[in-house]
Amino acid sequence: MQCVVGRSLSGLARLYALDVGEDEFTALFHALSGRLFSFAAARLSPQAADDAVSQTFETVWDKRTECPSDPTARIGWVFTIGRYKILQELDRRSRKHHDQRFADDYPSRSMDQSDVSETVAESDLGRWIYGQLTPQERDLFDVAFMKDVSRDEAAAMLAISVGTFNTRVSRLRSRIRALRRHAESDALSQEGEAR
Amino acid sequence: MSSHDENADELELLRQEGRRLGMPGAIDPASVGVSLTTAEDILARAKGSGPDESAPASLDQRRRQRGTLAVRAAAAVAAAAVGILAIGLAPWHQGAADAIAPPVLDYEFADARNIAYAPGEDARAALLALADTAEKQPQRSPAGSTQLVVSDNWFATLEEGKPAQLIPKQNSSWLRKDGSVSVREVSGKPLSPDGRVPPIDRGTTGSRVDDETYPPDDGLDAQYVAKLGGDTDRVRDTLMTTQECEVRVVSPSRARCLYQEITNLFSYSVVPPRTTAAFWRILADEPSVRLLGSVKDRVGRRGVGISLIPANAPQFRLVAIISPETGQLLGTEDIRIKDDPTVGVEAPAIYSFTAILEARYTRATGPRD
Repeated sequence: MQCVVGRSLSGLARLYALDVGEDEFTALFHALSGRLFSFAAARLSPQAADDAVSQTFETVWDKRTECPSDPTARIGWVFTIGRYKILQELDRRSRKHHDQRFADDYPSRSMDQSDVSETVAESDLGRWIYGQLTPQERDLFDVAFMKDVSRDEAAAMLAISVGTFNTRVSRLRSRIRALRRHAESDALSQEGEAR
Repeated sequence: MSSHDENADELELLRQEGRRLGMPGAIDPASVGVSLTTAEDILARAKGSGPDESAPASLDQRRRQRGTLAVRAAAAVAAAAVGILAIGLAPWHQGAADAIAPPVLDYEFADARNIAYAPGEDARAALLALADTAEKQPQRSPAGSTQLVVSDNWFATLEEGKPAQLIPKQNSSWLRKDGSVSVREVSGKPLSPDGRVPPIDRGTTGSRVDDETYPPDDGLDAQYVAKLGGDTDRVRDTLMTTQECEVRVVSPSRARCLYQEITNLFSYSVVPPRTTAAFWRILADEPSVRLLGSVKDRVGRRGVGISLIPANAPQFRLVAIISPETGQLLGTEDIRIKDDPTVGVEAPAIYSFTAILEARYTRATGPRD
């Protein structure tokens, strides 16, 4: 990608701003929209995830003069915007939920909040373990599981250093192993009780 | 096995373990009945809902445009070149004629050997002390209504696949009461980054002078900084709104956003002492801003370095140097802390620096086109 960097009074913009053209924008969309959707859909309804992806790329287009020239930083930049849009949507839904409590409108909300992880988890154990993870651990897990994502890209998506990413991956493995052991020992004791 | 391999294995092992346990994998839009909005749709929507250029800007729009103008005002004097990046060189400390590489300054807690990873120290106490110092400075009566800021800089043009050219520049900006701004950039002769460097020739033979003027209706409020005041929380809110900070709670992202806006304002505005104090108190609340300690800046002034590494651009370390005597910003440095093979830059490398030489009100209105 050819960098067109506008020098400015802002040092940061001067450093790594790109002027993204329509072709580059489209290429960026094709490269990242699927990953971002996957990440969003684990937290929102599929429709809301689609909206979050659209809003993210609308912002990317609006702020295209700030797009980093470094490919890895660019991924991190897009995902930072994306995660913010997801948080906004979650916050909006939380407020909507509050309003709807008074409108006695629970059913429509619960339908909108379908748990997509149930449709993609392949086992009860996997679903249970995923459900025990903290939001931060889920973020890490979801990004680590993206197809063909490198460690540098994953770290950029989470806005953390590669070193921190490595440490957290190692910690997450330990946590998943502990959860699995816990689930297995529970299952064994239940079997024992049944006998 | 190298630690890189071990880390790669850890990631692969996590993936294998997740798959083995049947944990949720990537979610394909089609598998959940979604057909993603296309890039073309988004572009069409963005174009269709774009602002009417002929309509007068609303106050909010004007505020949003203010930052853009600041960018455009300076970009105007930068050639609309392809692939311009900024690289700094230090002609002031060493004979410019034999300067070879831009040296990283020696900070109390970091130097060229460890600038990429030196953690620095907690900056809170130092920033609060600098804020107190700034606040104690007398508020001088403006000698005129135009804000003049003069800075020395060294920039380079970098184009992928071509050798870089280092160009010394002196920038002056005149921000007038009506919001119009003129920027004059005096450029020295380009030179090879490893070649001999003639000293900057300020506006005389061999120099190029670029003047650019932006009209008053371009969204810049000359009184914006003067009206910010000294209330830390209010100033922070205003900066975040103006800069459209994506994250508004304490975080590296917010620190970067605020840092960017604060240093940007110093580059073309005269910042009153109490507002300067509020700026440093704002950054004192951001733990990701670290203290690099005492330093002598590019023009030999005593300074205190504070620094942050932007989460969305971890290949850079951004440094602001603040005077312990006046609490005012002396300059900024942008340091590349990871190699950039595309332009042949080995880290650590100074990508740009700006040393603010003057920031004052004047009766002179500067050049106009």
